[in-house]
Amino acid sequence: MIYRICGLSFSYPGGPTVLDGVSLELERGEILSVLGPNGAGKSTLLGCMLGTLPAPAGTVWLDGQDLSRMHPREIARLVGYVPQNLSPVFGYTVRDFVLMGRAPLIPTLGRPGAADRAAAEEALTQMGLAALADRPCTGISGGERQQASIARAIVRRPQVLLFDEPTAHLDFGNQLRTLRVLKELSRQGYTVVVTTHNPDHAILLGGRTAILDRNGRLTAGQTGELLREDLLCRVYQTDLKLRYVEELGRVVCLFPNL
Amino acid sequence: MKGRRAVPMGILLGSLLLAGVVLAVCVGKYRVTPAESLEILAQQLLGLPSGYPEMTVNVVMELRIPRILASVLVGAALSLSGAAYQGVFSNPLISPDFLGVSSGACIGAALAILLALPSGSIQLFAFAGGVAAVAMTVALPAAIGNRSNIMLVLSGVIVGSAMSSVLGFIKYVADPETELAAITYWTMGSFTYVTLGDLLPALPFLLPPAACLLLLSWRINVLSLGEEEARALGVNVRAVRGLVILCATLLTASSVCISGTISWVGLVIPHLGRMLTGPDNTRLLPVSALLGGVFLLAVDTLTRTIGTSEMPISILTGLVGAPFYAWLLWRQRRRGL
Repeated sequence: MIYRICGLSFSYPGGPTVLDGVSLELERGEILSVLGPNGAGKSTLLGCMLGTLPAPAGTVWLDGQDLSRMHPREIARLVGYVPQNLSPVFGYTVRDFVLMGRAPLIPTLGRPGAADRAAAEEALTQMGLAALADRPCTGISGGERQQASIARAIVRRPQVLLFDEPTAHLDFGNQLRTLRVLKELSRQGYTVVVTTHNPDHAILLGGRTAILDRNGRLTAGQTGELLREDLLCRVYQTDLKLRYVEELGRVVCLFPNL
Repeated sequence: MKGRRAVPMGILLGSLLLAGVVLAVCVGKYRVTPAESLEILAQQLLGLPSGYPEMTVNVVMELRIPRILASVLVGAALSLSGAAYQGVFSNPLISPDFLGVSSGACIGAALAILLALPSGSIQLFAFAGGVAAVAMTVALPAAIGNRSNIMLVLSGVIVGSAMSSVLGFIKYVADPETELAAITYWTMGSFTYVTLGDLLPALPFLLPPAACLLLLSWRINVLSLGEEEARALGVNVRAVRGLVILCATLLTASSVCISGTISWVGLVIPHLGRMLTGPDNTRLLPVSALLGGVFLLAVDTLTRTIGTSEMPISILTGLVGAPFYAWLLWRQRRRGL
């Protein structure tokens, strides 16, 4: 087991409870989609799993260690994070941008060495970015930047990858390409956690799904078993239809007519 | 690709700086040839008797050499601190001036003058003033709950205005015969009265922070991605950012102690450096330092050679810096950088 979350509660200063007694276990190599309406605490959950948001109640165990007692460098060696909104201020080359993913392995006063550069080239090639390596990361498309961000997360070969709404700002084609990358990373042995607004993405990724409701409570289970029409309608407070499409060989989530 | 040009760029700027130093020793109202100045310098360093008139030796050793060293050091320090601040706050719009560090340091120095404290305390007070100003500028957006780049700039404007008022008050209560002149010297920026005796005590406050920033330059790259991403990459953001701010503030405050407030250098030079080498701080920081040294040496040499009386240096850096910065922004926008 790579993650064990026990009774995690979280609220922002002066705000309502975002996470309320959340418990979750995550096996190595599994893929977990986290669904929930806006403001339900999906990103907050990732922040707590990453240690960037210290939880006042509950414990997060990462690889058998209490996350709150781990050094950020130790956590970063085990966990790669792909943020939701990537808008770099400075135009680092894609190569330099990916190289920064090696930061947890490099001493504070050090600089990347030959091994770090070789790992960056490998990650660039794996994500199909070799041709863009010398381009500024401010001058590439949103989809390409997403790929660069994933390359930056995998360049240090962590065990877990956390994706915060990786398809949020992408067009349809790039959404599908990103989901395929996530599935492939899961096949390669990474434990993948993805937050998403789209139940279809959870269905496409398979594995397990966790649903956070507006009260900060979490329900988890196998995606195929957990995602039922009544549950989705209740969580999103709207009519949604789950229909089996024979041509695709899977269930799809549909909006009703307007 | 710009990065591969960093080493030749360093050699080019280093050569330019050396040539500039030699030229600056020679030019002025009292002209000295390069051969004469080098011979005088060698004789003085080796303790040999000089056959040159005392006036010539004094001009080279007492007036020009300290002034040249000071302008190069202050130019390098302000540019280095500007580049570091911009990286660590992920904000290319800020500089020691915008963060209120310079005016804070100026208030510290003015207060020490007003209280008639010994000269060593002026440096200490200037540093404390700089730290207090940057702390207020950084704390204000956090207190408001808006940590955006524009809020940081606005916070700098607020703190800067408050500092100007405090400085105005100190000037108002200062003795117009003695203290006011000394305080005005700090606010205008000048290398006119710099001596080697002023420079040497400042070196321990300039060289170690500069070395520390150069050693942290790659980590500044990671910090420039933003707080959340840097933390997710295992960086102890509070500690590393605190260390960078401490070093950059020390550099700025020490510069103010040597020459008073000199505006625009810490903002414009890092931009120019970024155009030459790209944003990677491992290349940008040393290139900015060299470029800043060359720039301020050139500006100071101009202030003492053009016209009949010497112009305060901030007038020229402002006249050059403001339109140059506007041009840089226009050029960057056109290129979509």
